[in-house]
Amino acid sequence: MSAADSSSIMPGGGISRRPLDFFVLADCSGSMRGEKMQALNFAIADMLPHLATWERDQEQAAMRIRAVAFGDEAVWHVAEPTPVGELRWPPLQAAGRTRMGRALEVVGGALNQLERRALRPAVILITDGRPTDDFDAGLAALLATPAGRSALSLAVAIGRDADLDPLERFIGDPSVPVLVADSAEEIADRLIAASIAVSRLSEVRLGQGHDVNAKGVLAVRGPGSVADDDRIV
Amino acid sequence: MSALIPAEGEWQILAANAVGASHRANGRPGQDAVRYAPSDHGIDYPLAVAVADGHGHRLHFRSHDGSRLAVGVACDTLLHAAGMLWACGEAGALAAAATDRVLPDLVAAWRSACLANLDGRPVTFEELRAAGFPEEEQAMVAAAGEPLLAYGSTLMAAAIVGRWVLLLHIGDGDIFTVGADGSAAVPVPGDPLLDGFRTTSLCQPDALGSFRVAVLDLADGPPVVIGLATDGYGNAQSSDVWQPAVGADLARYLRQQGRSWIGRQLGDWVARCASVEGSADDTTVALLVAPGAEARASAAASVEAQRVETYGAAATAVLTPVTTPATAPVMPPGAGTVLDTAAERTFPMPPPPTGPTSTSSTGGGW
Repeated sequence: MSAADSSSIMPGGGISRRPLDFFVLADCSGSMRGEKMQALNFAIADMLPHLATWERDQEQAAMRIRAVAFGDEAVWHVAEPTPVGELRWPPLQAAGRTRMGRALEVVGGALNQLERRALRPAVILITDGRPTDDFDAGLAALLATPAGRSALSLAVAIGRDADLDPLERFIGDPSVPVLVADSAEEIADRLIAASIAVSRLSEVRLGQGHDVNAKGVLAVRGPGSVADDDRIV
Repeated sequence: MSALIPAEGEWQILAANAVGASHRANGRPGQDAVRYAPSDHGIDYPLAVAVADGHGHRLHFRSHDGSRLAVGVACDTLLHAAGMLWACGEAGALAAAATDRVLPDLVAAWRSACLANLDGRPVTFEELRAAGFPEEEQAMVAAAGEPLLAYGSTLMAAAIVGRWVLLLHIGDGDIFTVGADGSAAVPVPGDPLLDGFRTTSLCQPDALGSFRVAVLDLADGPPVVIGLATDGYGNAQSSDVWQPAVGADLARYLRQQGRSWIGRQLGDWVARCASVEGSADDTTVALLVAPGAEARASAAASVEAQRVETYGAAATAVLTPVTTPATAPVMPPGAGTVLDTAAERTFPMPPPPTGPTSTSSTGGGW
């Protein structure tokens, strides 16, 4: 083996950055039809470059996007974990009811399959209404997974008709408000705010002042708040 | 780092650690520690190695001290107990003695060491501020009365006592073995509480209950390598189940290059895992390389080549943990060396076994 070979060789199947999975749950119910859906598609497409820029700059996590569209059913809209820099957002279509609970179940199933080395995921829930199915069962399924309990959860409410109660319960942290877009024009702003929140809160985990690899301890409750990285149960 | 050529019948330890990119970026110290120690008790050359990973979270603001103290007391406790462990005579009794006597001693020694550290260097508000506690929380943390929390750390330790290898593990990280044929196994039982986001720890009030214990019988298909790695290593691997590929490659390197070559590469491997290419986390690996590992790996490869020639290639695969028992105590000191960079040392092989042959572990592999 030459010196050049030995400098690049390494046991195993190679190394790579740890994945950071970002799940978008988008409301595609009938009430989203028209201007709102158009604005949402634009807003998500506009958010992706911000996340890609953040990913490129922080150099420690590999962000991958998946999306679930929920209307009469909750279905994968972007099924494969796709590197954020490679995703071209396929437009959503609106129709039907608001199976938000089922969407949480679908994501819960995916969170249960995350790689062992994955960083804490981020989940954003976007809706203009209220769930028409069993939201509590869906939330319970999501929180039944370690990754679901550890996830950074954000919510965007489109319009004042959105029911904030389930969104607040989904977030599960009174210090994190639901981002409300009062009009279609504001959707993009709220998603940009959400993407900044994802990147900033992920930075906290990526060593920008704190420690991406910090661990909490089971069964020991420490003093005071552990809001930045509450892995202690 | 020196390149030692092992003599016949010697175990060799190859170890390296690297500070993670995430810690370097914010100027924080590495949280990992590694130590190995030969016996100074003269009992059949027992050998102890320990690797620990401080949690890094601000609540564990002295976890770099906690991990350093952990590897020290682990080696000391194991060597101190070597005579008692040797006298157990069979694997089940050895596992029970480890659970009932060694672990309580080890945990108590770690707690004492942490408290002594605290006595010598009381926590200051400046330290809490540097750890990232906002001003309004500093007094609360200082008054919390949970001093051990600051020192939270995992611990993996291995001791070779005659024909036995005793393995102790609390928290995340990986202990793995590599057979002469390159097959890999996980000798210590898993812990469902380790979900990747949290870890069990020496600082838990019930730490004894979270230790996992295994005993390997070297007379029963001994591994060529026993590896202890902090989670910075496993988290850098692209594959979730990485041990089979790593095991196969290590056996091949032993065959083709030898342990000294591996020892020279280990620092680079660990540094790459700790970089932004990998986990960006502190990474520490200690490899115990068995006597005659190169020859055994070569022999196994020859047998496999002959088998393939005769019967055709066969697939391998699937991770099967080697099984074993469980838990439970303190003692002091012995010798050892703390490593900052890749290093290797050789140790004489224990004399041939004379006791019974049972083991509390069953063979397993991928």
